[in-house]
Amino acid sequence: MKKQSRDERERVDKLNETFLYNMGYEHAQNTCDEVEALLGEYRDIEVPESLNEWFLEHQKQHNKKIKRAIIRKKAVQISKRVAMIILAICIVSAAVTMSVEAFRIRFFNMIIEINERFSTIQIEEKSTIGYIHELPQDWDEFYYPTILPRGYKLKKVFEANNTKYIIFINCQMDELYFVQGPINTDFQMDTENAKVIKVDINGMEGIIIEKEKSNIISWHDNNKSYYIQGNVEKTMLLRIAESLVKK
Amino acid sequence: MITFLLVIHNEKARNKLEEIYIQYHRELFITAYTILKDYHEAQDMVQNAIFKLSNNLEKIIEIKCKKTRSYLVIIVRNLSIDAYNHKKRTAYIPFDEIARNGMADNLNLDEHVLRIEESKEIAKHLADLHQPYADILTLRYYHQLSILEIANALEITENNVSVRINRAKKVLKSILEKVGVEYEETI
Repeated sequence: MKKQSRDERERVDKLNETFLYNMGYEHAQNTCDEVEALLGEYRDIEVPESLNEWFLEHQKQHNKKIKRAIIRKKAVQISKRVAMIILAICIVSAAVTMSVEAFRIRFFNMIIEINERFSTIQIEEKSTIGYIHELPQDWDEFYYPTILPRGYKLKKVFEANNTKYIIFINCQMDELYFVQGPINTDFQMDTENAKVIKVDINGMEGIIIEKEKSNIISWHDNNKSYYIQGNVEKTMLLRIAESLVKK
Repeated sequence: MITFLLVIHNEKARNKLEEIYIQYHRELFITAYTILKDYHEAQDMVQNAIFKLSNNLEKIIEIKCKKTRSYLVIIVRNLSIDAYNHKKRTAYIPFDEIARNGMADNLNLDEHVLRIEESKEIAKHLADLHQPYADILTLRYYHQLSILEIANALEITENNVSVRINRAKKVLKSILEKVGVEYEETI
C-alpha cells in the first residue's frame, strides 16, 4: 500500500472532519425533527411543578454563588490595595523615623506608650495626688507628679540648695525619687552598665537610663531640671514625667 | 407553572440559563420521559443536564437555534439512555475489547467524503442503528466538544468517550460501505 504524504494525510483528515461535521449537522436537524414529533405525541404530559421549583431554587443558589465569587474577588482586590498602602506607609514611616531624629524620638515614645497601656496599666495609679496637701505650704513655683505607680505614698519632702526632693515609698520599701532644681542643677547619674534611651517628654528631650534594679528619667525645660529614679518600669517613669503639674 | 413564569418573568435581567430553561425544559423532560417512562427519573435527568449546563454556559452562543436545541436534547437523551442501561444492568463492551479489534481512528473515510450530500440519510441510518453513536459523533464533530467535555456532560469516563467514538466510526464506515454498494448498484 502506498504511504500517504503528510499533505495528503492532512487533506484526508480535513475531509473526514468536514464529512463528520456535516453528518453531525444533519443528525442535529433529525434530532430536532424527532423532538417536534415527540412534543406532538406527548402533548398531554405536564411537566411536574417540582421541576420548576427545583430550577428556581437552583437559580437562587447559583446567583448567590456568583455574588459570593464577585464579593470575594472585590475583597481580594481591596485587600491588595490596602496591603500596598500599608506597605507604602511603613516604608515612608521607616524612612522618616530613621532619618529625622525628632520623629525617631516620638516614634519610640509612641511604642513605649503603647507598651505601657497594655503591660503596666495594672500598676498605674491615677488618683494619687492627694499627697499635695502634705507638701510644704511655703513651697511655690514647683511641679509635682499626678500619676504614681500603685501602692506608692509620700514618704519625705525636703529642699536643699534650691533643689526640691519629693520621695515616695511603697509597702516593699521601694523608694521613688522626684527631684527638681534650677536649670543648671547637675544631677550625678551612674550610667555604668546602663542602657540610655532618648525620649520626648511633653516636647522636651530627655533620657531614660535603664539599670538592673533602678531606672532613671532626666530632662529639663527652660527653667528647671528634673530627675525621677525608682524601681519602676521605664514606661511608668515616662508617664510620671509627663504627668507633672505646676503648683 | 403560572407562579413559576411570574417569578421568572419578573426578573429584569433574565439570564441565559433561565432563557434556556423556559425555552427547552418541556422537550427535555419529554425526551427523558420517553426513554425512562418515569416522571421522577425524567425530572432527575433534566435537573442533571441543567446543572451541568449552568457550569458550561459559554458553549451556548445562541439560545433559539437548532444547534442548541439538539445539543441539549442529545445530552438529556444520552444521560437517560445510560440511566436506563444502568437500571437494566446493560454494560457496554469494555475498552480492551475495542482495542483488540483495532482503533477506528485508523479507518479511512476519505473514499466516502464525496457523498457529503448524502450525510442526512447516513446520519439517519446511523441513528437508527445505534442512536448514541450518532449523538457522540455529533457532540464531537458538530458541537466541537473535547473528549473531556463530552465525558463531563454524559457522566462517563474519557476512555469510554474515546471507545464510543471509535465504535461509532467503525459502524459509520460499515454503513458507508453498504450505502456505497447500494448506490453503485442503482447506477
